Amino acid sequence: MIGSPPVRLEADEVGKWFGEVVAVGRCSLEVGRGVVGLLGQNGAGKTTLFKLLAGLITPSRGVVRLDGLPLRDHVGLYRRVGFCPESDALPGWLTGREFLTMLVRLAGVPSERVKPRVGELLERFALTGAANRRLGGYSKGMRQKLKLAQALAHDPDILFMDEPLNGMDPVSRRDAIGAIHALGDEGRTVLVSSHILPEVEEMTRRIVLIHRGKVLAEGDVTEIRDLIPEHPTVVSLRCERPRELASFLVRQDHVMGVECDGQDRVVVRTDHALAFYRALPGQLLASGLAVEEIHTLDDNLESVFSYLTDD
Amino acid sequence: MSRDADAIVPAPLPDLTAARIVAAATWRELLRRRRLLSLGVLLLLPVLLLVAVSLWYPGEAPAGLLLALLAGEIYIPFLLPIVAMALGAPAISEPIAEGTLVYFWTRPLNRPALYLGRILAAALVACAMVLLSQAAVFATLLSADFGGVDLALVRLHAEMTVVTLLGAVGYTALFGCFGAGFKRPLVPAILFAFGWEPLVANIPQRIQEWTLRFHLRNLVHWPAEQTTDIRGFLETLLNRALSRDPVPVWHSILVLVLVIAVSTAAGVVLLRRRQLDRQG
Repeated sequence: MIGSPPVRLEADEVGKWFGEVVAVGRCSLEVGRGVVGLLGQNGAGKTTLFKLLAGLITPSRGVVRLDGLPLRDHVGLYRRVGFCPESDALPGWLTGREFLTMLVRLAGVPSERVKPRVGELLERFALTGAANRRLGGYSKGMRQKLKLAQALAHDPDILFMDEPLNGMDPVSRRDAIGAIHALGDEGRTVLVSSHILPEVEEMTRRIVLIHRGKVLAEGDVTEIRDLIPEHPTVVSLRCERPRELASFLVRQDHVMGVECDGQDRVVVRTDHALAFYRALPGQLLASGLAVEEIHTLDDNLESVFSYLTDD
Repeated sequence: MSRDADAIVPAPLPDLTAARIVAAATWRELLRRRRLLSLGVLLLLPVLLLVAVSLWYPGEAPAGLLLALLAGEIYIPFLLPIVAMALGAPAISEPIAEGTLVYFWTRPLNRPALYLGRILAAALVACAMVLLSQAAVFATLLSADFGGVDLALVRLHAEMTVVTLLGAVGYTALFGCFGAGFKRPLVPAILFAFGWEPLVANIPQRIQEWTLRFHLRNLVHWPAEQTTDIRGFLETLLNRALSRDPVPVWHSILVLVLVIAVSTAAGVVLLRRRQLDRQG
């Protein structure tokens, strides 16, 4: 399970095929509180799985449940769900305010709360000035913000965000990432789908990796990284006495190899990065060696992704 | 906030409330569509026709006959289906094709409420547009030299109003259902309105009853008089339009109501089964 309750989203052996093409094959998954990245290349089945999880399409096999109930059969559960689609499509003939008002009302927000809530959302996403303009005239970035605003309109417990940063300018991106972090910190479940690794990495380190319609791995990036023994984690340490540090580290557990770069850096290969990191402070204290900088070279999402998919 | 499967399930929005909200937004959206302008121009044609008749044949064509002719040969076979096609067919298919249906789909509302709200708005706009056009026709008949107003003319106008309401709602419901079932609903809608309807409506005996056009025409009380050349010409056209065996009025109303009910139910079922396989 990724994250922890209160909201529990489960996919139980879910599969989806279109004719002969298997888009998603037997995926089982549990998602709890916090931000989780659903990651996969284009065509990996990520969008199909995302839609299955959000109840937008019916699985060919298996079932998706939100807190134990099939989401697609209980539309009332959408009171707790916010959805931000990837597509830029918006009803161009409505204004931003009309669009939000309609969706806030449809989310079941009491009528006396609708107007203030719409005002809050417009303010929060810096759309107040454009509120009375038709959506057909909105820029891509404004559309993206409005999509996020409508997803948050009814204060949902669980949010599905499909490529939420598409088309945003750097400032809006930063704000959106901050908002996503805040939502996760508030205890909501935020499922973010993306094929852009650095983007996901900025939002979360908890990922579900989809490849060729299957869940390849799920968990924290570092934890997943440790599960790939054929590709030891590479850690770089900067020290004034690199040779002494190298000869010290080579004797430690989980260290598979040590190299000096000839200057002040030592590169360590470890088969268990978590254990290595846990033990390292004590070992360094015991050795009396001062390390100025520690940097993991390949426990980032990109490395994990390429190791797991061999791409 | 955690809950088990046996905990209280959040209720969907009441269907009437949801349908009302959807209908209000759809109404607003439809009124701003450019296609409304084209429809408005099209619906002015009967008025222009009357003006032309009054200029070329002043005092020759009686108002009742003209109104009946417009109802039987222009509103029922052409304007009602075209307006319903332009508003009803896209009511469901457009949000699916554009990818905006997802915003409704991910709200706590039942699919029938969504469907009814969209179709209701489309039918209301269709009714409003055709009724406005007929009001303009009636005003033109009163203002120009068409022989003045009598009870028969008022009655005919009232019948046309009923025909418009039933016809606009009927065609809109039917084409809306096509929108829920077909990716390009205009194709079957055109085939139905301009293939099936004229073809079958002109088959004698009871087969013609398998058209909306027949039952809509059956609801109008047609005048039968002729005195002048232009009147004779119009009479011939009208007779050709009416050459069929009438059925009781209640029979036609029942058929039209059934078409509305069955189309709506079928549309709801089709929308329920619909999957958002398109992105968005």
